[in-house]
Amino acid sequence: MTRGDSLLDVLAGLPEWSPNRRREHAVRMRCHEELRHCAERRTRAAQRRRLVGWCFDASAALGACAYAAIVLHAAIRYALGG
Amino acid sequence: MTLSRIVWRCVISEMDREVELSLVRRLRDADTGAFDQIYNTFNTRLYNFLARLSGSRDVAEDLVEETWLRLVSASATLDLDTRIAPWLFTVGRNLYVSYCRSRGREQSYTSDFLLLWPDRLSPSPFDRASANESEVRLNAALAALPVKYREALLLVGVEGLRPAEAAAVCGISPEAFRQRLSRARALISEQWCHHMKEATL
Repeated sequence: MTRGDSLLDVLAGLPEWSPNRRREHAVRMRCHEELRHCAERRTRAAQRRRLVGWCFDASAALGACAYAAIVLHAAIRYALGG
Repeated sequence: MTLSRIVWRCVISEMDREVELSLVRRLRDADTGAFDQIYNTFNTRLYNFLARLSGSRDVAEDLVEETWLRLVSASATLDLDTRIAPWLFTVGRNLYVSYCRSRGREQSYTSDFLLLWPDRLSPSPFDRASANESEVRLNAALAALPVKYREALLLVGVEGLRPAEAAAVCGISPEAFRQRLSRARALISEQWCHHMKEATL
Protein backbone atom coordinates (compact mmCIF):
# COMPACT_ATOMS: atom_id res chain seq x y z
CA MET A 1 0.00 0.00 0.00
CA THR A 2 3.01 2.28 0.23
CA ARG A 3 3.80 2.18 -3.47
CA GLY A 4 1.82 4.63 -5.58
CA ASP A 5 1.11 2.24 -8.42
CA SER A 6 -0.31 -0.48 -6.21
CA LEU A 7 -2.43 2.14 -4.49
CA LEU A 8 -3.90 3.19 -7.82
CA ASP A 9 -4.60 -0.47 -8.59
CA VAL A 10 -6.47 -0.79 -5.32
CA LEU A 11 -8.41 2.39 -6.03
CA ALA A 12 -9.32 1.09 -9.47
CA GLY A 13 -10.85 -1.93 -7.80
CA LEU A 14 -13.17 0.07 -5.57
CA PRO A 15 -16.75 -1.13 -5.89
CA GLU A 16 -19.15 0.84 -7.94
CA TRP A 17 -22.22 2.47 -6.45
CA SER A 18 -25.35 2.42 -8.54
CA PRO A 19 -27.33 5.61 -8.86
CA ASN A 20 -31.03 5.68 -8.06
CA ARG A 21 -32.65 4.09 -11.15
CA ARG A 22 -35.89 6.00 -10.86
CA ARG A 23 -34.14 9.32 -10.66
CA GLU A 24 -31.79 8.29 -13.46
CA HIS A 25 -34.79 7.67 -15.69
CA ALA A 26 -36.34 11.00 -14.72
CA VAL A 27 -33.12 12.86 -15.53
CA ARG A 28 -32.82 11.11 -18.87
CA MET A 29 -36.39 12.04 -19.79
CA ARG A 30 -35.86 15.64 -18.71
CA CYS A 31 -32.72 15.87 -20.82
CA HIS A 32 -34.56 14.40 -23.82
CA GLU A 33 -37.22 17.04 -23.40
CA GLU A 34 -34.60 19.78 -23.14
CA LEU A 35 -32.89 18.46 -26.26
CA ARG A 36 -36.18 18.49 -28.15
CA HIS A 37 -36.81 22.08 -27.02
CA CYS A 38 -33.31 23.02 -28.11
CA ALA A 39 -33.91 21.44 -31.52
CA GLU A 40 -37.22 23.26 -31.87
CA ARG A 41 -35.64 26.57 -30.87
CA ARG A 42 -32.89 26.02 -33.42
CA THR A 43 -35.41 25.15 -36.13
CA ARG A 44 -37.46 28.25 -35.39
CA ALA A 45 -34.31 30.39 -35.40
CA ALA A 46 -33.31 28.93 -38.77
CA GLN A 47 -36.80 29.63 -40.12
CA ARG A 48 -36.60 33.22 -38.87
CA ARG A 49 -33.21 33.64 -40.51
CA ARG A 50 -34.58 32.28 -43.78
CA LEU A 51 -37.58 34.62 -43.59
CA VAL A 52 -35.38 37.63 -42.89
CA GLY A 53 -33.14 36.63 -45.80
CA TRP A 54 -36.15 36.27 -48.10
CA CYS A 55 -37.49 39.70 -47.01
CA PHE A 56 -34.09 41.22 -47.62
CA ASP A 57 -33.91 39.68 -51.10
CA ALA A 58 -37.44 40.78 -51.88
CA SER A 59 -36.82 44.36 -50.75
CA ALA A 60 -33.61 44.45 -52.75
CA ALA A 61 -35.49 43.25 -55.82
CA LEU A 62 -38.23 45.85 -55.26
CA GLY A 63 -35.61 48.55 -54.84
CA ALA A 64 -33.93 47.50 -58.07
CA CYS A 65 -37.29 47.58 -59.87
CA ALA A 66 -38.07 51.05 -58.51
CA TYR A 67 -34.66 52.31 -59.56
CA ALA A 68 -35.12 50.80 -63.05
CA ALA A 69 -38.56 52.46 -63.33
CA ILE A 70 -37.11 55.85 -62.40
CA VAL A 71 -34.31 55.47 -64.93
CA LEU A 72 -36.77 54.33 -67.61
CA HIS A 73 -39.10 57.22 -66.81
CA ALA A 74 -36.23 59.69 -67.11
CA ALA A 75 -35.11 58.12 -70.38
CA ILE A 76 -38.60 58.34 -71.88
CA ARG A 77 -38.95 61.97 -70.80
CA TYR A 78 -35.58 62.75 -72.36
CA ALA A 79 -36.54 60.93 -75.56
CA LEU A 80 -39.79 62.85 -75.78
CA GLY A 81 -37.87 66.09 -75.41
CA GLY A 82 -39.37 66.97 -72.02
CA MET B 1 -17.26 -7.05 -10.46
CA THR B 2 -13.83 -5.52 -10.10
CA LEU B 3 -12.53 -7.11 -13.26
CA SER B 4 -15.52 -6.09 -15.31
CA ARG B 5 -15.18 -2.56 -14.02
CA ILE B 6 -11.53 -2.36 -15.00
CA VAL B 7 -12.26 -3.74 -18.47
CA TRP B 8 -15.18 -1.36 -18.80
CA ARG B 9 -13.00 1.58 -17.77
CA CYS B 10 -10.40 0.66 -20.35
CA VAL B 11 -13.10 0.63 -22.99
CA ILE B 12 -14.27 4.06 -21.91
CA SER B 13 -10.88 5.69 -21.58
CA GLU B 14 -9.84 4.29 -24.91
CA MET B 15 -13.21 5.21 -26.46
CA ASP B 16 -12.69 5.31 -30.15
CA ARG B 17 -12.02 8.93 -30.99
CA GLU B 18 -14.08 8.61 -34.14
CA VAL B 19 -17.06 7.38 -32.13
CA GLU B 20 -16.62 10.22 -29.65
CA LEU B 21 -16.44 12.82 -32.43
CA SER B 22 -19.50 11.35 -34.07
CA LEU B 23 -21.39 11.43 -30.75
CA VAL B 24 -20.47 15.09 -30.23
CA ARG B 25 -21.58 15.91 -33.76
CA ARG B 26 -24.89 14.12 -33.28
CA LEU B 27 -25.40 15.75 -29.89
CA ARG B 28 -24.92 19.15 -31.49
CA ASP B 29 -27.81 18.21 -33.75
CA ALA B 30 -29.90 17.40 -30.64
CA ASP B 31 -29.91 13.66 -31.32
CA THR B 32 -31.43 11.94 -28.27
CA GLY B 33 -29.85 8.62 -29.30
CA ALA B 34 -26.39 10.15 -29.02
CA PHE B 35 -27.32 11.61 -25.66
CA ASP B 36 -28.48 8.20 -24.44
CA GLN B 37 -25.22 6.62 -25.54
CA ILE B 38 -23.20 9.24 -23.66
CA TYR B 39 -25.50 9.02 -20.66
CA ASN B 40 -25.26 5.22 -20.45
CA THR B 41 -21.49 5.38 -20.71
CA PHE B 42 -20.78 8.10 -18.18
CA ASN B 43 -23.68 8.43 -15.75
CA THR B 44 -22.53 5.82 -13.24
CA ARG B 45 -18.92 7.02 -13.42
CA LEU B 46 -19.96 10.61 -12.88
CA TYR B 47 -22.22 9.62 -10.00
CA ASN B 48 -19.47 7.59 -8.30
CA PHE B 49 -16.95 10.40 -8.75
CA LEU B 50 -19.26 13.02 -7.28
CA ALA B 51 -20.50 10.72 -4.50
CA ARG B 52 -16.95 10.03 -3.36
CA LEU B 53 -15.95 13.66 -3.82
CA SER B 54 -18.87 15.13 -1.92
CA GLY B 55 -19.29 12.32 0.56
CA SER B 56 -23.03 12.34 0.02
CA ARG B 57 -25.09 10.34 -2.44
CA ASP B 58 -27.96 12.83 -2.32
CA VAL B 59 -25.67 15.71 -3.20
CA ALA B 60 -24.09 13.60 -5.93
CA GLU B 61 -27.47 12.88 -7.49
CA ASP B 62 -28.31 16.58 -7.60
CA LEU B 63 -24.93 17.45 -9.06
CA VAL B 64 -25.14 14.68 -11.67
CA GLU B 65 -28.55 15.90 -12.77
CA GLU B 66 -27.29 19.46 -13.07
CA THR B 67 -24.25 18.28 -15.03
CA TRP B 68 -26.41 16.49 -17.60
CA LEU B 69 -28.67 19.51 -17.94
CA ARG B 70 -25.60 21.68 -18.51
CA LEU B 71 -24.47 19.29 -21.25
CA VAL B 72 -27.85 19.46 -22.93
CA SER B 73 -28.05 23.24 -22.77
CA ALA B 74 -24.49 23.55 -24.10
CA SER B 75 -24.93 20.85 -26.73
CA ALA B 76 -25.45 23.26 -29.63
CA THR B 77 -22.27 25.17 -28.87
CA LEU B 78 -19.96 22.25 -28.10
CA ASP B 79 -16.69 22.27 -30.01
CA LEU B 80 -16.57 19.51 -32.57
CA ASP B 81 -13.40 18.10 -30.98
CA THR B 82 -14.76 18.11 -27.41
CA ARG B 83 -13.60 15.22 -25.23
CA ILE B 84 -16.70 14.11 -23.42
CA ALA B 85 -15.27 12.59 -20.23
CA PRO B 86 -13.08 15.55 -19.21
CA TRP B 87 -15.92 17.93 -20.12
CA LEU B 88 -18.38 16.12 -17.86
CA PHE B 89 -15.96 15.73 -14.96
CA THR B 90 -14.96 19.40 -15.21
CA VAL B 91 -18.56 20.57 -15.07
CA GLY B 92 -19.42 18.14 -12.25
CA ARG B 93 -16.39 19.16 -10.25
CA ASN B 94 -17.06 22.89 -10.78
CA LEU B 95 -20.66 22.40 -9.70
CA TYR B 96 -19.40 20.72 -6.56
CA VAL B 97 -17.04 23.63 -5.86
CA SER B 98 -19.97 26.04 -6.34
CA TYR B 99 -22.04 23.89 -4.02
CA CYS B 100 -19.31 24.07 -1.37
CA ARG B 101 -19.12 27.82 -1.75
CA SER B 102 -22.86 28.19 -1.50
CA ARG B 103 -22.80 26.14 1.69
CA GLY B 104 -19.97 28.16 3.13
CA ARG B 105 -17.50 25.29 2.92
CA GLU B 106 -14.57 27.13 1.40
CA GLN B 107 -12.54 26.29 4.46
CA SER B 108 -12.98 22.59 3.99
CA TYR B 109 -12.17 22.87 0.30
CA THR B 110 -8.94 24.78 0.65
CA SER B 111 -7.60 23.36 3.86
CA ASP B 112 -4.58 21.12 3.73
CA PHE B 113 -5.53 19.44 6.94
CA LEU B 114 -7.90 16.73 7.82
CA LEU B 115 -11.30 18.17 8.52
CA LEU B 116 -14.64 17.07 9.74
CA TRP B 117 -17.03 16.02 7.01
CA PRO B 118 -20.59 15.96 8.26
CA ASP B 119 -21.81 14.63 4.92
CA ARG B 120 -19.55 11.64 4.98
CA LEU B 121 -21.11 8.68 3.23
CA SER B 122 -23.20 6.56 5.48
CA PRO B 123 -23.34 3.12 3.87
CA SER B 124 -26.69 1.43 3.50
CA PRO B 125 -27.23 -1.97 5.16
CA PHE B 126 -26.80 -3.52 1.73
CA ASP B 127 -23.45 -1.78 1.30
CA ARG B 128 -22.35 -2.93 4.73
CA ALA B 129 -23.26 -6.48 3.92
CA SER B 130 -21.68 -6.52 0.47
CA ALA B 131 -18.54 -4.48 1.02
CA ASN B 132 -15.56 -6.22 2.47
CA GLU B 133 -13.58 -4.69 5.28
CA SER B 134 -10.69 -3.38 3.20
CA GLU B 135 -13.09 -1.59 0.85
CA VAL B 136 -14.76 0.06 3.81
CA ARG B 137 -11.37 1.15 5.16
CA LEU B 138 -10.24 2.42 1.79
CA ASN B 139 -13.44 4.41 1.38
CA ALA B 140 -12.98 5.83 4.87
CA ALA B 141 -9.36 6.75 4.11
CA LEU B 142 -10.45 8.39 0.87
CA ALA B 143 -13.25 10.31 2.57
CA ALA B 144 -10.81 11.59 5.21
CA LEU B 145 -8.59 13.26 2.61
CA PRO B 146 -8.93 16.98 1.86
CA VAL B 147 -11.03 17.47 -1.25
CA LYS B 148 -8.26 18.61 -3.58
CA TYR B 149 -6.29 15.43 -2.92
CA ARG B 150 -9.35 13.25 -3.03
CA GLU B 151 -10.39 14.58 -6.42
CA ALA B 152 -6.89 13.98 -7.81
CA LEU B 153 -6.97 10.35 -6.67
CA LEU B 154 -10.52 9.82 -7.86
CA LEU B 155 -9.89 11.23 -11.31
CA VAL B 156 -6.72 9.28 -12.00
CA GLY B 157 -7.01 6.23 -9.76
CA VAL B 158 -10.70 5.49 -9.94
CA GLU B 159 -11.91 7.11 -13.15
CA GLY B 160 -8.81 6.37 -15.17
CA LEU B 161 -8.35 9.84 -16.64
CA ARG B 162 -4.92 10.71 -17.97
CA PRO B 163 -3.01 13.09 -15.64
CA ALA B 164 -3.11 15.85 -18.26
CA GLU B 165 -6.89 15.51 -18.58
CA ALA B 166 -7.31 15.39 -14.81
CA ALA B 167 -5.16 18.52 -14.49
CA ALA B 168 -7.48 20.28 -16.94
CA VAL B 169 -10.50 19.11 -14.93
CA CYS B 170 -8.99 20.57 -11.74
CA GLY B 171 -7.97 23.75 -13.55
CA ILE B 172 -4.28 23.47 -12.70
CA SER B 173 -1.10 22.84 -14.67
CA PRO B 174 -0.03 19.22 -15.31
CA GLU B 175 3.07 19.76 -13.20
CA ALA B 176 1.06 21.06 -10.25
CA PHE B 177 -1.32 18.15 -10.68
CA ARG B 178 1.53 15.64 -10.58
CA GLN B 179 2.69 17.13 -7.29
CA ARG B 180 -0.83 17.10 -5.92
CA LEU B 181 -1.29 13.47 -6.95
CA SER B 182 1.98 12.48 -5.35
CA ARG B 183 0.98 14.23 -2.11
CA ALA B 184 -2.44 12.57 -2.28
CA ARG B 185 -0.85 9.13 -2.61
CA ALA B 186 1.33 9.80 0.42
CA LEU B 187 -1.63 11.06 2.43
CA ILE B 188 -3.87 8.13 1.62
CA SER B 189 -1.07 5.73 2.43
CA GLU B 190 -0.79 7.40 5.85
CA GLN B 191 -4.54 7.19 6.28
CA TRP B 192 -4.51 3.56 5.23
CA CYS B 193 -1.77 2.69 7.72
CA HIS B 194 -3.66 4.54 10.42
CA HIS B 195 -6.81 2.53 9.69
CA MET B 196 -4.83 -0.72 9.61
CA LYS B 197 -3.31 0.07 13.00
CA GLU B 198 -6.75 0.83 14.40
CA ALA B 199 -8.04 -2.42 13.00
CA THR B 200 -5.27 -4.49 14.57
CA LEU B 201 -5.71 -2.92 18.00
